[in-house]
Amino acid sequence: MGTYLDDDLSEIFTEFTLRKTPLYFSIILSLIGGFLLSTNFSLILFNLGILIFSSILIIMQIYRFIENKKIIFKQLIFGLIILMFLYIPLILPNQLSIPIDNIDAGIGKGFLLSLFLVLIGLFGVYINLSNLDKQNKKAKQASAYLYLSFAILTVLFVLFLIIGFIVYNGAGAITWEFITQDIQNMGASGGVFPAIIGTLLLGLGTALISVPLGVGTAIFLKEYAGSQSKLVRVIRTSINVLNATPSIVHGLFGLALFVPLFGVSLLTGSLVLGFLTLPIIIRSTEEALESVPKDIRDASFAMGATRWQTIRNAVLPPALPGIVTGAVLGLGRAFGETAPIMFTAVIFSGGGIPTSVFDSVNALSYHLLELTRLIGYKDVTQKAWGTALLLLLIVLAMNFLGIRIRKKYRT
Amino acid sequence: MEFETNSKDKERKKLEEIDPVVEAKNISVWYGEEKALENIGLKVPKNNVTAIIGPSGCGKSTFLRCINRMNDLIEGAKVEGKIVYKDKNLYDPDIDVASLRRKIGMVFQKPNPFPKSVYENIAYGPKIGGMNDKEELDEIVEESLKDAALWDEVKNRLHSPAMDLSGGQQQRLCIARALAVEPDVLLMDEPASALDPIAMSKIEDLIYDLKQDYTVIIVTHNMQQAARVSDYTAFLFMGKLIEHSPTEKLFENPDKKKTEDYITGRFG
Amino acid sequence: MSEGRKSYSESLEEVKKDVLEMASLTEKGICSSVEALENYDEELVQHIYNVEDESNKLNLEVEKECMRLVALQQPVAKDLRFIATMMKISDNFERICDLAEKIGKIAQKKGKKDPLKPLVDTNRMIDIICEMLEIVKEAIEQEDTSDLRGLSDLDDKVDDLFSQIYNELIVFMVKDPKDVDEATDLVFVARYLERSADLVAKIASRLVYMVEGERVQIK
Repeated sequence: MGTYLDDDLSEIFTEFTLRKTPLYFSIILSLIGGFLLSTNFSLILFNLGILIFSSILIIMQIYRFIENKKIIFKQLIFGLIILMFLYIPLILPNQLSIPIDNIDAGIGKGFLLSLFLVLIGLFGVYINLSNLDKQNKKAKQASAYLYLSFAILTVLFVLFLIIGFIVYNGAGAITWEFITQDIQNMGASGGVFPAIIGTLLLGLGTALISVPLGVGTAIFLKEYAGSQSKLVRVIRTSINVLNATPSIVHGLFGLALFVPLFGVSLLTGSLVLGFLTLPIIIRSTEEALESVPKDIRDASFAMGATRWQTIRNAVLPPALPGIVTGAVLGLGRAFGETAPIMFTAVIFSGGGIPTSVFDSVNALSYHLLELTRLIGYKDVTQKAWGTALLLLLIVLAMNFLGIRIRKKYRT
Repeated sequence: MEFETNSKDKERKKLEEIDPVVEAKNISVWYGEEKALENIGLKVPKNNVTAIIGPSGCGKSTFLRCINRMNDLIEGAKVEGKIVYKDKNLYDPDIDVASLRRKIGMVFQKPNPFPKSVYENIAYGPKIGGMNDKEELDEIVEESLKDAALWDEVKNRLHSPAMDLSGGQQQRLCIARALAVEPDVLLMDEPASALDPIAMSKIEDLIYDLKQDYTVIIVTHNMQQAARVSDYTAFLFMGKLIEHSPTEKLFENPDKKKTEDYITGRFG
Repeated sequence: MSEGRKSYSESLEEVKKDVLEMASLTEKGICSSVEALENYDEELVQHIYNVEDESNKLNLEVEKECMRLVALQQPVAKDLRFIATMMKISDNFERICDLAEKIGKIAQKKGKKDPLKPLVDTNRMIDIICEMLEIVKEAIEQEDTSDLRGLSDLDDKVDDLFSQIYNELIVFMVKDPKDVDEATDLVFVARYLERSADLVAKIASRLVYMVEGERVQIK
C-alpha cells in the first residue's frame, strides 16, 4: 500500500487523543459492516452501527463548535438529515430479486445494509482524517490514498469476481469436442463449432465494412475538412448519435432495411455490426491521426508533397498501429454484441457453416442467449457457461491483440 | 584638422545594390482578425545568409512561412502583398504550390524526421517528385547527406530508423532531406534552438557552407547565432520590419533605437 | 531585464567610473610634472610616479572588467562600442601618464636648478592639455560628443607651441653648446606634451565612435 500509508497511519494511531475518537469510531463502524457482510445480518448490530455513527457526528460537532462557533447550526442540520437517510435501507423489501427465467439473481437486504455500513464507515474515516488536523497534509494524503485504494480495489474485485465466476463455471465445459463439434440437441449436447465460425465470419464482415468506411471518414474529417466547417460539425454530431444509439435499435434498423434486401444473412449482420462499430473506428482513427505530430505533416508539405501524398506517405504509416488497434478493439465489441444480430443474421440451430454471404449463421453471443432461455427445460447450464467463457476468451484475445499492437509500435 | 569619415563595409554590398533572389513586397498577414505582419518589404540576397531576429510573437516565423506559402496550411491565415521569386509573384493564382516548395525548402525548429529509415527520409522528396530509379536515388541520398555533413556519421546505418539518431544528427538529416529536392532557397525556422551547443555549432558551420550553393533565410531568437552565421540581418518587431542591414552594421551600430534596445537586451 | 543584465549595466557604469578616475589621474600627473620641472620638489616627483603606478593598475582593472563583460555578456551595438572604446582610451590615458613620468624623470635630473628659460610656452601647452582633458572627461561622463569637435583646434595650438619651443631651444643650443643637454631635455618635455595632446585627440575620436558609431579622426 505504499510508504505513505505506513508513515501516516503510525502517526495517527500512536498518539491517542480525544480528538481522534470519531476516527476510531468510524473504523469500528466499517469493521462492524465488514463483520455483518461475512456473517448474517443482524438488526441489533446495525442499530449499534447507527448509534456509533450518530456519536461520531455529535463529537465532531462539539469539536467544530470549539473551533468555530458559526458553523454549528448548519452542521447540526446536515447531521440530522444524514441520520434520517440512514434508516432508508430499513424500508427496503427483504429480498431484492430479479428473476430471469429460472435463474434467480437476487441479493438479500442484509447484504446491502452491511455494505452500506462499510461505506459509511470508510466515508467517516476519510472525513475524519481530513478534518483531524487541517495543517496536517500527511493525514489528508493518507485519507485520499485510502479512499482511492478502496475505489480501485472495488473495481478490481468486481472484475475478478466476474471473470473468476465465468471461468470457474465454464472451464469444465470446454473440451475439444465442445469446440469442434456441431450443435446437437438444441445445444444440450455437441459443441459450438458453427457459432465460433459464425462469430469470426461476422467479425471479418464487420471489419470489411467498417474499417474502409471509418478510416476514410476519419481521414476526411481530420485531414481535409476544416475543423470549423459546418459539414464537419454535422458529421461529428451524426457520429456521436450513431455511437449513442442502443445496439437493439441498430438491430431493428437492420431488420427493417437490410433483411428485406438480403434476408437474415451474414451480409446483413455484417452491415449492422459494421455501422455499430463505425463510430469506434472513426474515433480511434482520428485519435491515431491526431497523434501524428504536425511537424511531420509540415515536413512533408515543405518537401512539395500534395495533401494526399502527405497523408499516404507521411501520416498514415505512423498512424497505422493506432488505426489497427482501434479496429481490433471495435471488432472485440462486435464479437460480443447480440442485439444487432439477433433479428438480422443468426438462427439458433441448424445454421451450420454458411456457404455464401446470404446464408444465415450462428454466433456465440446469440447461442449463449438461447441457451440461457433453455435453462430449466434442458440440461444446458454447463454448455452456457462454456459458451460464455469462449466468448469472453475471444473478446479478451482481441483486446489483448490490440494492446500488443499498440505497445509494439509505441516505442 | 577636419573630421574624416572613413568608408567601411568594403566587402558587404549595400542592400540597395543587391540583386535579390527573393523579394517581399508589402507583405501583410492576418490570422483571423489579428494582424501578424504589416507591410514587410525585404530583399533577400543570393548565396547569402539572411537572419531574421525579433522577440517572440514578432511575426518572424510567420514571415518565413509566407515565403514558401506554408501559411496556406493554417486555417484563417490571409496573406496580402507580393513575394517575388524569379520574376514571378508567388501568390499568383497560377503558381503550383507543391513545386514552389521544392524550390524553396524548409527546415523546422524541432528536428522532424519521418519515422522511417535514414535513407527513406532523404528519398522522400525525390520519390514524391516521381523519381523511382534506385541508382539515382542512391546517388541523391549520398550527395544530400554529404552536403549536410552527415554522410560519414550515417553511411553505415542508412537503413536504420532516423529516430535513433541524436537530436543534432536528426536536424542535419532534416537539412539533407530538404537539400535532396535541390532547392534554391532554404528557409530555417530556429533550426538549432532545440539542440545542445555542440550540435548547434555543427549546424551553424553547415549553414556557413550551404551558402556557397544555396540562399539561406534563418529565423532565430538567438542573436549571437544570427551574428555568427548571417550576412544580413532583419529585425522584426510587432509585425513590422524595423531594420534590415548587413549583420556587422546591425550588431555594431544599428540605425534604429528599437533595434539597439532589443539586441542589447534593454527592452521595454 | 533579468538579474544578469542588471549587473551588466552596473558593470558598465563601473568601467566608466574607472576610466573617469584615470582621466583625473592623468590630468593630475601631467600638470604635476611640469610643476615639478619649474619648482623642483622631491615629494611632487614621487607623486607623479605614484600616479603612473596607479594608472597602470587602473588600466589593467578596466581591461579585465571589459574582457569579462565581452566573455560573459556578448555585448553588441552601443555596449560593444562602449567596451571597446573604454579599453582603448584607458590605454591612451595610461600612456599619457607614462609621458608624465618621463617628464618627472627629466625634472629629477634637473633638480632645483632654475630652468634654462622661463617655461611660459610649456605652461601654455599644459593649460591647453588640461582644457582638452576636461572636455574629454565631460564627454565621457555625458556620452555627448558636441564639444569634442573643438579639440582639433586645441591640438593644433599645442602643435604650434611645440614648434615654437623647438625653434627657440635650437637657438639656445647654437648659442652655447654647454646648454645642449638641458635644451634637449626641454625639447623632449615639449615633445612629450605634444604627444599627450595627440593622445587626448585620439581619445576624442574614439569617443565619437563610441557615441555615434562613426569612425573619425581628430588631429
